[in-house]
Amino acid sequence: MIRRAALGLLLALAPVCPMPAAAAVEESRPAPEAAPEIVVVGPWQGIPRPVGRDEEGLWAEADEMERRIASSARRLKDKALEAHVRGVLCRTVGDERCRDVRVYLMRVPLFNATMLPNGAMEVWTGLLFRTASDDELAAVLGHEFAHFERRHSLAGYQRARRNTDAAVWLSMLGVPVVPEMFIIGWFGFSREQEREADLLGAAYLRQSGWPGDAAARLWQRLIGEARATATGRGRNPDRLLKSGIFDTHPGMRERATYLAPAAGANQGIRPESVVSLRTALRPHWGDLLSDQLGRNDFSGTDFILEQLNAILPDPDLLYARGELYRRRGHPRDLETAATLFTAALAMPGARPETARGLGLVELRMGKRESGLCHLAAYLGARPDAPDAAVLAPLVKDMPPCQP
Amino acid sequence: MRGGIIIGFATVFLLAATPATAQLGTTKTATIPGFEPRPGATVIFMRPNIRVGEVSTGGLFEPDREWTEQARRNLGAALAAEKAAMGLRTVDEEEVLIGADPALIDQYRHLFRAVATAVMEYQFFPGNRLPTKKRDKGLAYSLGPGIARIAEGTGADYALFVTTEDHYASGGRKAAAIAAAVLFGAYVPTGTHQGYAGLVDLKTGDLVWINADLQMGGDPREPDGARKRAGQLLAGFPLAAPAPAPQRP
Repeated sequence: MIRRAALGLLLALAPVCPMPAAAAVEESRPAPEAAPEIVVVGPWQGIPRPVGRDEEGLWAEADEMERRIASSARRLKDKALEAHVRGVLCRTVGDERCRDVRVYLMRVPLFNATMLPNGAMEVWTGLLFRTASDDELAAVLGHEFAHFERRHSLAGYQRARRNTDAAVWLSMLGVPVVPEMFIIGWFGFSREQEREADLLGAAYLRQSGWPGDAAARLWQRLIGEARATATGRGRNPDRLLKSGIFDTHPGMRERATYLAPAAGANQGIRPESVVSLRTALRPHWGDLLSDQLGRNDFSGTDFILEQLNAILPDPDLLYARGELYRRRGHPRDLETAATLFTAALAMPGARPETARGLGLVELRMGKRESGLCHLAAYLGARPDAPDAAVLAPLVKDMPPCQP
Repeated sequence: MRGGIIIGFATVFLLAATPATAQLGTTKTATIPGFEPRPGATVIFMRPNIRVGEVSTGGLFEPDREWTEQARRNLGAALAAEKAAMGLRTVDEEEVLIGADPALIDQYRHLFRAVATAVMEYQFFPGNRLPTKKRDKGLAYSLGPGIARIAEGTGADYALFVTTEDHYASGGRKAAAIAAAVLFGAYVPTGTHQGYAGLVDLKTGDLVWINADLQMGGDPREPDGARKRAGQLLAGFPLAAPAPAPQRP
């Protein structure tokens, strides 16, 4: 089990090395003076089959893992959304590269996407929720694809083996090695791979016409969320900005900074790109919001909901934020929640649960009449609601509020 | 996202050199008390979990595609031969569970692994038994009657799950083991050869039989070794006909 976990991690993390292959696709101009930060996408050689025993072994494991992913109960089986995510990937890396990838969506409310060495890509719903637009999604998918293109899983696996092998022999020679030295080395290696994938990912964005600042923009927002979470939990938010020796990924600020020059001139979030992703997510929007509310992260959730609503106002985002405050339920939270629910109800397309939230908040604030009429409006729109049996006797003959 | 991975890795490196479940040395078999096989029962043979590879010098598992494929082929043939010799009616999962929900099957596969692991960990060691199982001598574990849903319409009675995992010592690992023994008298584990099989009643969900061995014999990469392994995996299998009984048509 332990070793399976080890391999799973290796496969999933796609760790690193300063690969000679990287040099081939790097800038071909002689003597690039502007630092090697600009990576150019080279011709696709294809990854038709694994080469050598190590890679064949990793692919065989990945094939087994993909069977489990494909039939997992967590998998979000929505052909339309899957096609949308795949479409974004294909536009980003090109149809030729895209052909070698299978995309699986997983209902996990955390920000993550992983790529197995055989071309199976897993994208979590928490990631889809946090990318504000198609171009931000493109930035993450391009990053994952870069791990695949550079065969990072293989390099990371071989390096981990080299290091643990060396640790065994050195310790027998009486050299006081602590295996931790090699572990730390491995994490640095992983960070270097992530950086490489970030830069190649930026190259995909440029070649495919997406705004080049998408990755930096997304990272800035994730930094904000992580800081909010840390602050809300009484931890030091500044700790998040640098990469520590045990981090697998570079620090968020570091990423936002080194990605900035790779962005090019084409910048800025496009409304149509936001609408496109929101429309694709629409059928699952309610689930994504309730998954996020269930994470017990008040400050981070508040931050991300507010940010997403600032990018494109949406009654569901206001509703979810209202629920966040209503559930915490300090007296001042009730005021905030009522304001948010009211704002949501003023927008077209607000879900009936918004009136429920407002009604419950108003009851607790002592506004009995208004509260009951909002609950009546909710029951009128959702006669078979799961809490109808509890609320109906309360509401009795109260007529629904007019919006 | 990062915290869990870091802890996972640290654990991996610290534990990579220790055998996963060193306390279980011999074969353990258990059958549910008073088990009466349904006559002419049909068994669904679930796709076995098979992994074969090497252990690196430092203790990492190195998966080997060729060995794993050989083992899958050889064990498949050997298990088929065992089943034929027992006069057992079996159908492969791939052939019979086509219409079933793959996610549901996957969940029962996980549940079986969890229950089987619990039996190996607790039931097989009387001193380690869970408080509710202390007084009972017999096997009393179940996946629940809901499992009937995966076999709806197939008429199957039981499902057979098989798992084997082989980690052969690489040259470097063997050398390290010898060096450690010579220099320090220390023991470095050189391989893992474990497997288990279980039979689940598809009507009640009860685990009717389980057989586990964490030091299995037989090299599944070879046809002969695979035959030995298959025999060990099915040792004590409760549907085996004691003698060539009259076969139902």
